[in-house]
Amino acid sequence: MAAGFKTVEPLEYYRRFLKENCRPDGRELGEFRPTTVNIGSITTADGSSLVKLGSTTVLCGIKAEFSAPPTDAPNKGYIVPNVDLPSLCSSRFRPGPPGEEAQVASQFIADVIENSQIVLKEDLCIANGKLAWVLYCDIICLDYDGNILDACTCALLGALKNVRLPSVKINEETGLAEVCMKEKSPLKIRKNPVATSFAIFDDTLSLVDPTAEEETLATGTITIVMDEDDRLCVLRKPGGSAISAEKLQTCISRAITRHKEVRKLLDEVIESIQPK
Amino acid sequence: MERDCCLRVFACEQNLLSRPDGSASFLQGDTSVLAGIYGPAEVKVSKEIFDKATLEVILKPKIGLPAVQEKNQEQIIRNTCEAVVLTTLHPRTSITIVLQVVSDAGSLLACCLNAACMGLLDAGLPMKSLFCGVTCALDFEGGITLDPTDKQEKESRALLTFAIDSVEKKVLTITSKGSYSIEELQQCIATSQKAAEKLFQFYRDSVSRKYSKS
Amino acid sequence: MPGDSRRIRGPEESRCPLLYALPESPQAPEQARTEPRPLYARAGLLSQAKGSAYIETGGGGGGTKVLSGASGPREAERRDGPGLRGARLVCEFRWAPFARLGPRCGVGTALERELSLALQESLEPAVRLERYPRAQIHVWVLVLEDRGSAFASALSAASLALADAGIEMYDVVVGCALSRGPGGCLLLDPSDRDEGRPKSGGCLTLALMPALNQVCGLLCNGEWTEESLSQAVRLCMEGCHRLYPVLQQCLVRATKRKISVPQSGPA
Repeated sequence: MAAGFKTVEPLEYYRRFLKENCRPDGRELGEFRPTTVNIGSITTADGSSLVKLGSTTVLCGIKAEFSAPPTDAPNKGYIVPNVDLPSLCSSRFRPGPPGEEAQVASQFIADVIENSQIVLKEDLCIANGKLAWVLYCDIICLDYDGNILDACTCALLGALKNVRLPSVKINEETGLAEVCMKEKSPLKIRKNPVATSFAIFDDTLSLVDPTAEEETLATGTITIVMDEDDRLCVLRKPGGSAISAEKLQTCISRAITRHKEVRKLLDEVIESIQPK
Repeated sequence: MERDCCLRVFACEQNLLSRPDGSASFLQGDTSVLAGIYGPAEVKVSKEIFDKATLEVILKPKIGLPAVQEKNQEQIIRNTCEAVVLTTLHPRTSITIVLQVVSDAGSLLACCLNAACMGLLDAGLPMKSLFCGVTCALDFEGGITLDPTDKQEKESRALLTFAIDSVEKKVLTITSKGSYSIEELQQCIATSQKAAEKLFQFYRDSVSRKYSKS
Repeated sequence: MPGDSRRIRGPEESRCPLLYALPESPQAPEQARTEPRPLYARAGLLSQAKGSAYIETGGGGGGTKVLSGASGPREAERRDGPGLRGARLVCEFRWAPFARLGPRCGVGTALERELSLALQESLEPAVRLERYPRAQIHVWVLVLEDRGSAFASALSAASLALADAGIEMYDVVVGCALSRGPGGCLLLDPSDRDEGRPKSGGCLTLALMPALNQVCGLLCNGEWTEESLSQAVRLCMEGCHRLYPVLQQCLVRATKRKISVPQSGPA
């Protein structure tokens, strides 16, 4: 009976649950799905992390390469984030070049990097005007069950914390770079942005960490990215139900607590993989 | 805190293109966007939605091909329009909004939103409310500049763009650049809600001018 | 590149730092090995795909990690060609940009297209396509980390995903790779270090249906004598037979999990 009701009247099915302040998967409205982070599992990448939010799975791998710094900023390197949503992760995505959702997610991650200044691009410069690091941050969604923006942000942060760059010297005679793969140093992570997404239901209720099903039924979404100083880095509310300033404030408060949760989780994982 | 709650000079012309069902050009200072609206029209089978109209937004940059940034803005504008256009009244049809950037001198996304709203109004599509776009720039002293020029945008520490609906003055859309505190966000919302009143008054004036002429 | 405007672009040109690395002492090539590396397989792990499988081989300082998903049968998009009598099997094989050592790899390279086709041709004999007329079945394989013999793992993972999706098959396809080292010694299931050795005398990847003992795919390059090739094929077939029970168990476990957890609520 229940399964049939869900198929025919998905919205009504959800409303019955929400009336009792819970969701079909047993969560409360302000509750995240269990989050797991695995850091450094891809050894071919310079930094990697796998993040699971319930069944949503996102993998971020970072490859560092050399390039000449941009001509307008000779003391800076590059960070190139791209989000890939292959048809493997959900049947809603077609094979081929990135679709709208993938492009929007890529831009979102680029905004997170730019606005929060996780890594200063100046730190990526090796020799002024000559050589700089390019960090290709490729984020692939392996399983799409909603709320990929939160998962992508977390995976990016985890992978950046895992990056170990080899030491580089410029040979003064030849002017060429010499790389020592044995000496590796981590990146300087300046900020820890954490994203928290909400789905707005029936213009009033806000559900944190929506699943794919909840996202399709929702009348709007909000994503809030906070750093550890309780400053907003990205606030993304693309249309949908109108929201009052008070409602927004409660969402921000939830984002602050989420920041602490994720920060603690990441610290624990990094601690556990630290060679003793 | 607020230095000035003034917007740049804005102007709007509706129904200036003959082919689309509705059109508008919106000017904010030196920023100018042209909007053409087609619909409700026939929709491709693959894009058909059985209980509402399919809304599409195409944003054409002044030069070059649309890139990731434009795609992101397209999605924002589309979702904003979807929130106010009563798409359920025209199921299995398509509504296409084409926005051509004529010149960009700051607050581009806000101008695109305004042009889209005036275009929808001109096309006579049923909407539950109007909306307007407002951009706020936060400078290093914490002051708020409304409707910044491109020079002011570059000098700013953070940039927030809102879409505000005309009925309850609630926030439909928020996007931001740079980092800022929660208090600053609330101030910006309050400021842009005030600015929205002016814009809606302007909407009303320009529409009544249009109808008094004909 | 036309698709470039849909991705965030980096600098025009970038080079891999390994090119500038100080030469390391060359590691001795691995001696002849006739057993495949240990393999871990899990099926049915993705929530959205109809069938899925993950295979990891090697381990200890990085192994080959391959993820596969299958969907279908669904209505065919194309109504022409051979798809009328039986289903069309569409395969996609690709590497994640960070999957290999050395430079970041781009998307849609010729090698990926070639291997996608090879994957399709190797799986077609195993799938009962005639049971699904006018339909298409999709299989995607994503290599997350390539530490050698990625295509062999891809073959096994893809067939596990198909089986997990409930597509009718004659048998599970098992892949196994082999490379010929210097001096003609044969190395089963080579790692990326041995595969990439410039002097390696050839590589071979074989797809086998173990229950029927039929070879359904063979990719081979390099120069081989008749004798060494037949020996290599025999070795690969033995390797496949060794891996077969692992894959079988993995499918049994996945099915048991599905039975114990009902799909959606009380019926």
